[in-house]
Amino acid sequence: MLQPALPPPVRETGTLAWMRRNLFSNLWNALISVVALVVIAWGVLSLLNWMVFAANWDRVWANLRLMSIFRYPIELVWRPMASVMIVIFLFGMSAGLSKDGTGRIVRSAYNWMMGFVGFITLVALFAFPSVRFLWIAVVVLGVAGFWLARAVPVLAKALPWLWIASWFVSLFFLLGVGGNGNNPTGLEFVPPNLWGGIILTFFFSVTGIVLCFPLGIALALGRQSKLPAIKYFCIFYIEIIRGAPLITWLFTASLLLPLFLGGIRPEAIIRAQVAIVLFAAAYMAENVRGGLQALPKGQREAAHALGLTPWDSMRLIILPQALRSVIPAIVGLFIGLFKDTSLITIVGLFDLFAVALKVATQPESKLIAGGIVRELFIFMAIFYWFFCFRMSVASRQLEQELGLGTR
Amino acid sequence: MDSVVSALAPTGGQTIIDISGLNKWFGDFHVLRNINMSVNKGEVVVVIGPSGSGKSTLIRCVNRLEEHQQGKIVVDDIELTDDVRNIDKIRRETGMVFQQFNLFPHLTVLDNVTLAPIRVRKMKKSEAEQKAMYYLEKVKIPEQASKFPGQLSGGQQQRVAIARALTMEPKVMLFDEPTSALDPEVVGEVLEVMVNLAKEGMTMIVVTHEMGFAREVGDRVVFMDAGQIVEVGTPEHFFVNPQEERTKSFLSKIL
Ligand SMILES: Nc1ncnc2c1ncn2[C@@H]1O[C@H](COP(=O)(O)OP(=O)(O)O)[C@@H](O)[C@H]1O
Ligand SMILES: [Mg+2]
Repeated sequence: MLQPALPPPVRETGTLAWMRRNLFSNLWNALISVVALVVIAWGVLSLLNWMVFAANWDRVWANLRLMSIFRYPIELVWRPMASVMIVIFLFGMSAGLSKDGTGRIVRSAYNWMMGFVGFITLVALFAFPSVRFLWIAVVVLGVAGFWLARAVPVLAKALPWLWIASWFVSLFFLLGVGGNGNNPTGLEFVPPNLWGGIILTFFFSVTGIVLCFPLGIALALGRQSKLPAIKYFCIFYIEIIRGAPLITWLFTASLLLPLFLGGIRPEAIIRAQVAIVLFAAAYMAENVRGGLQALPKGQREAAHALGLTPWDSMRLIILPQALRSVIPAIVGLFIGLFKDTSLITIVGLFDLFAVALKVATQPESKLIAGGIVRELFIFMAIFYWFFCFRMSVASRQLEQELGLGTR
Repeated sequence: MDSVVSALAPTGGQTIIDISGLNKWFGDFHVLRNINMSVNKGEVVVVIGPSGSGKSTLIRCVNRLEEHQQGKIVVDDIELTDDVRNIDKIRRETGMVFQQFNLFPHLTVLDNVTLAPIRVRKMKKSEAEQKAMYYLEKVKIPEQASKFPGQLSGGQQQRVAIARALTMEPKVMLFDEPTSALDPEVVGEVLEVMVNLAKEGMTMIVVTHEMGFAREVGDRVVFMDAGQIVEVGTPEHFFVNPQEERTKSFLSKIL
């Protein structure tokens, strides 16, 4: 006789059952759990207690503008805001154009971004009248971009180009070219030593991430090249770069880049950006190489056997698979790059971290007992955590989405 | 010996693959030794032999997945040289099916099948899709077109791989142990597709140990051992009175 199919044994569900199974399964476990819970609760409660009742947030509050745009001229604040608008607008368009699958990730990131921007706008509405309308415009453009793209799907073709153009336009707004006080054709030049804070952190990390990606791929492929000159150059480059900490390369770029450029001394911001991109590219290359090596050799062979050109098989078969298998490592690198931008302070630039340090050492801060260092650091911690966490959420979503129905 | 000689140099018909004096080394290891073999249009040649005897290497030389060091390989009147244009032409005319399928896991079945026609033959997408569906029907899985390879069984994956090669409309199909990685119960569905293909007149070189297949549609069987062609003949010749000792001992192990 055929055995009837039996239902699996019932397993208790719910929080209590979970706790009994995982935290209090025996006396020893229960003891550790209780001690751990008490310690954690005590720590969190004292922190919250301090944050709400004892901390002095005035300094953070009063210096928000410094930390956002540093000493960017107040009457020109619309210019950094214009860059924000462009980016949010394109973000909205991307979300509007994205379909199922990986598109969901863009939409979810867009929702978060709009939540974040909406929060700032609310704060601005009540507390910062000078930028109130600029922030409202940001929100409106974010929503408008979404619906515009929904209404005109053919924009999808233009989107990559718009994103590329947005970088140049943002830079144009931030830096300004041409005009001066009495010349209205153009935007007054704002030297990069005046801009800083969060806007610099973002501009710097996004540029670094975008540029190190193709460069890293090129280095990884070069490392596998059959031509010894290319191969050994790439190995040499990668190993040299990885052999010293970023801070060394930031100094080196400051001192050496002018030598390579025949005495021309680019702005500090460009030197630092070059250093960060070249640095991150070496790590990117090693990540990509890991992905390339993990790819079964049959994939290349199948592509060859079908007659695909080397370029097509790289672009359509090898890289898409190699990259997806190392997404967590790549996102880890991006998160690191985002945080490492705080090192650019050593070449005289003022990103968020540098501005916060400066604020903490303002003469007025000294009047407050113990300074206001802790408040500023908590503010920064929340800022960095928010975006790093968001990136790692996107990475997990991407993994899940790409893993679906494939292997 | 008669059959061996006539089989080595088939008369009548038109030669599509001509291999002569082929030698290949992996480092110091002499893996293919003085191989001479030609295949006529519409012929089905089955290659058998013990593991490591060089069967895969031989058919992989035909589409330049492996480079040979000596000898001459001519496919459809194009000689295989270092000239990339010749290699590309030959790869367009030869389809290959691998033991491990080697489907592209990040593309749907339909995209797997249309990729090469669109990229290599510069076919329009709609035309390629039409053609792809025709061949997917031929291998009896049109309904799986929008799935990913990972969602299919081994037998289904191998049939997709066959459709992928066929959609390029090659003149020759190379099969490298297409059923060896399959569960026994799905071997039949893949062999059936291959038998139909053979009956329609496709030129095929098939490395396999499926003697039923050889008997049913094989025109010639080639037995290889230690990098050499030991014996060539019709399937009947092989199963009724193989000449060489090595052939006999190999056949006694697999039959
Ligand atoms: N890429 C390679 N490098 C070195 N040796 C190889 C390589 N590929 C195959 N060989 C060796 O060549 C011999 C023939 O291999 P192969 O053609 O795969 O045999 P078969 O397909 O008949 O089992 C084997 O001894 C194998 O180990
Ligand atoms: Mg083999």
